[in-house]
Amino acid sequence: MPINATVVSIVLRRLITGRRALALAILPLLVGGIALAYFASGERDDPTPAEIYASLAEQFLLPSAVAFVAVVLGASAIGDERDDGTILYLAATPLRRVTLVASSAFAAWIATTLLSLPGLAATLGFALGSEATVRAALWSLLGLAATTLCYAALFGWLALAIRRPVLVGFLYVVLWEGSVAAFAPSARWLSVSAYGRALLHKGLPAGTDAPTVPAAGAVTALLVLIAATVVLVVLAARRFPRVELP
Amino acid sequence: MSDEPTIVFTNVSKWYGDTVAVADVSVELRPGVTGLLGHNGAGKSTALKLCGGFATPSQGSVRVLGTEPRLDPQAYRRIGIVPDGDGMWGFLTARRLVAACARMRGVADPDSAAERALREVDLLDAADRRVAGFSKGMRQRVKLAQALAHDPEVLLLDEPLNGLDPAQRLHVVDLIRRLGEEGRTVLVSSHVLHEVERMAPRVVVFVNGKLVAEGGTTDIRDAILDRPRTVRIETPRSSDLARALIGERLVHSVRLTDGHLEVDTADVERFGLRLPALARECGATLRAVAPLGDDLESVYSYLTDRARGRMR
Repeated sequence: MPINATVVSIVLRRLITGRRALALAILPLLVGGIALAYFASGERDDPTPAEIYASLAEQFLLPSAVAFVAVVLGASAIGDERDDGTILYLAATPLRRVTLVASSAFAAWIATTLLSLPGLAATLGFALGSEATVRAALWSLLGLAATTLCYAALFGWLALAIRRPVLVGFLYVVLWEGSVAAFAPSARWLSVSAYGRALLHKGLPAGTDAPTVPAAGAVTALLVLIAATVVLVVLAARRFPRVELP
Repeated sequence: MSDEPTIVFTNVSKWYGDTVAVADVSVELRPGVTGLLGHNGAGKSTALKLCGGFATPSQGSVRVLGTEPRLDPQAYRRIGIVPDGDGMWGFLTARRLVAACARMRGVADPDSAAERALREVDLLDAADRRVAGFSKGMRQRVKLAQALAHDPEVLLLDEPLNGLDPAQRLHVVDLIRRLGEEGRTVLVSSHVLHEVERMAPRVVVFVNGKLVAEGGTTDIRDAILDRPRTVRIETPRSSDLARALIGERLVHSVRLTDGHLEVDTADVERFGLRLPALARECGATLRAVAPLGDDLESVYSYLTDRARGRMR
């Protein structure tokens, strides 16, 4: 998918500087705080560290905390530019509209992943403690990156498709990703974070309880998220010329 | 200079809900500077947005350089735009901002292009300062520099003189005039007639979204200046002066309002020349003489009525 380095650098710089970025980074760290409380309790047998990590990362971190960060940054990547009129300087270029949208989503993806990393590291480190492995860390990182990629495209598309993307995005996260899809096994095939959970879960010991993780292989989960990302970016690019700019 | 039209509006209307921003406008613009004149809310910015491809016509079509930029982004290599809003990437220096815009528009050497464009707008001294700390006038010049950086054939400038001090205005007016003389098509909006007059030999006038006048700037100015006027005269001997004015056929109606005289005249120039002598002859001291309805709204209303009359 075409990416323009100038667009990425401008949008990314805007997203990761300022107090908003700091405030957003705290959200995933809150999940790390719960892991710290578990770590401090010294309890290691029931539930096991892997089960605690799976529960925190798969039911709170990816579908709620990271999703909230993604809503704000994904919608703001284009939304901020649109709100203050700088989108005109992006739109008045010969760059293909798909390049503009993909570059904005790429910047939102990098920003969301960067701001979520400390929370993921804290959750993994405190929950797994001495049982933390490179394998768990790498699969967790892949799960996080694949989830945020799809979220960035989803909320970027929302920013072009509807009037209040952040509000609608929040409602989507609260009512679907972070609740029904994160806790009801029957809905596990129908959410973005579910496929991220599938990837993250590969790094945990076999037999770790996974009620809301779809039984998808790593490649399948990754392909589903990438395919959804491509479709959302293409939809947003098709929408772009019809959007009234300020 | 080619005489082919570069910007063509064909039966263009644009409405937002119940509000009509542009109503059935057809006009062809050729190389050179054209002033887009109208009061606030007349539809100037919407017309420029339609040209720039930032809005879709509700009806009709707008073509720039033979294409619709909205559907054909390659056209932006040849179009430079100064938008109305002040939004900019304030975290960038002026040099980086202009270079970034040039780079995105496919300029081979964006740094040199930025240097040249910033020199054109006389902003090289502040080129390495962040735009966030810039005054309105400096931002306006950065906007102009980014529009010039890729050496476009068509320039769409929305109120480019806003926020500039008199010296900067002079500089930008000269620059715009030169851009037109170089054979570029420059469409520049303003609500100030004398400003447009200094840079644009042609003007199109919008009133409430309608194109009400189009032609040489001098002709339009003369039409505005020659229009019938109502003049309010404060004098203690209003009846005597009214009789004298009617006797001389300088006015076609007189009214006494709040003890003051209000007269309608079709020949403003002769009225102005004769009034002091007539007042002296009948012993009427002139305490105040002021034209009424000389604001832009009434000027544009006059042009609207004139356009309607012509249509009939």
